[in-house]
Amino acid sequence: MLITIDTANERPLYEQIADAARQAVARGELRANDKLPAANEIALGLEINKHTVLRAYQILRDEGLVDLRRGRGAVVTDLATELAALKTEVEALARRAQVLGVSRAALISLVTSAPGGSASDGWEAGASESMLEVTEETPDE
Amino acid sequence: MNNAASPTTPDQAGRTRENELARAISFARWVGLILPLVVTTASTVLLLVWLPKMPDPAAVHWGVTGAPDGFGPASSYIWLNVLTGYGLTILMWTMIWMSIAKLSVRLWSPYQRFLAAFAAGFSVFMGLTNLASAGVQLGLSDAKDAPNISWMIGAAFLAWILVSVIAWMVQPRVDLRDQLSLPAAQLELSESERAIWIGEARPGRLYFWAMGIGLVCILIGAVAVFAVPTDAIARGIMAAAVLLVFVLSVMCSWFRVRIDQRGLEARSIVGWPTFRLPAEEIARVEATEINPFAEFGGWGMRWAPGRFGLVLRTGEGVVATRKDGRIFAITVDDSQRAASLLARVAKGKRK
Repeated sequence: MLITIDTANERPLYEQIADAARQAVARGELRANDKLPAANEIALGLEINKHTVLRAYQILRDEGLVDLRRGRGAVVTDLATELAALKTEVEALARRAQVLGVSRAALISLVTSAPGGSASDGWEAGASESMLEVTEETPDE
Repeated sequence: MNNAASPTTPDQAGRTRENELARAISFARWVGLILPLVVTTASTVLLLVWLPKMPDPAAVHWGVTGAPDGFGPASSYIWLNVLTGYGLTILMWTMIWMSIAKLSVRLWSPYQRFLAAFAAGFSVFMGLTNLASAGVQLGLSDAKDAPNISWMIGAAFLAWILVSVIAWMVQPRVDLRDQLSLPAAQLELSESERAIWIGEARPGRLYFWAMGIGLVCILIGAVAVFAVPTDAIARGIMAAAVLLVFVLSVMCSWFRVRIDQRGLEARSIVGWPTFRLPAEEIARVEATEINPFAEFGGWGMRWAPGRFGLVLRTGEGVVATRKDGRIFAITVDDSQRAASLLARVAKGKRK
């Protein structure tokens, strides 16, 4: 699993880390019951504060993507399977948008403003952006 | 023996490589599979013919004094010859097959050449030893009268070495390990970006089962030894040896891997040992197919002069070449990304 952060980007580091995890899930690299690396390890490797990583894990927990368990750390939930399955549909959506000439940014706004999500149930802009970023990475697979 | 004519097209190179591989396999099959099978079969047939003429019980073990000190049924020789002769041959050939059966990359190296030569020599040794031990007892009414066979065993041993050397020399010298492959494309990272790669070098399914079955057999053997009354020292040594084997097996079978700006670090799941490849020592990184049997002589934590590998399955992995030329290989999934990051951090340190 590759985690990249950009200290120059205005998006908070903890969101970037959460993005990396969501992308890994969407790609199928992280599956249900997989354990996320220890926050220490990521913090050490990226040379950032451990609490930044922990914040990312808490965000993922609030989204329902991971469980934070004492002793075991962050474990990916079954939601991961659903998220990965969603990827196929998202790819189809992205292709259709492209065909229609709808911009990626417009598409993201559509997803964000779609009914069924709200700030309180954790469906943040980040998740939809991450998913679509993954789709961009893998155009013709 | 190696193809001297330089190929002009990649197609020609590929075909030449296939020819060399086929030739190496063919020779190895003759000396390492067919010869041992013939030798073992012939000696077993002879032992069967001799069976009625042997004393019962027969001598099956000779002591340091030269006189027989262990006795058992004459049929023991049949079992011994069949199990060791065929068994070892099958073992050697399975190891050779492991390195050429996988369709992704089929490699040949001195490792396999050695295995074939070993099988040839060993089958001759076992056959001769069994024939000698049984042969001196033909016509005897009491196995205790069996003469000293030390010189015969010595001769069988020499035959082992001689046959193995000939079997080695007869095979063509083919080494297909050093293939041209492209260095990994470096991960694009701007000044403000940082990245880490986290993964595992996990045991492959085949390795896991082979190790598991092997360890269970050792455990059964240990229990069987414990069941027989022996002195405490023998039992202690046995227990310690079995424990050591178990611990070492687990220690070297699963590694957590992290790649960051410092380089690559592989940590055993039990915490120790940890292997580090500092970024500043790296000259070149590739993501490539790794063939443990052909390139390292087997699975696991492997060392040979100039190369070190944590190779726990056949398949993709990261191969780094240090500035002093030594190779470090590790089998991991997602090797493309891992290699691209490692290449990037290595470049970073070269500034």
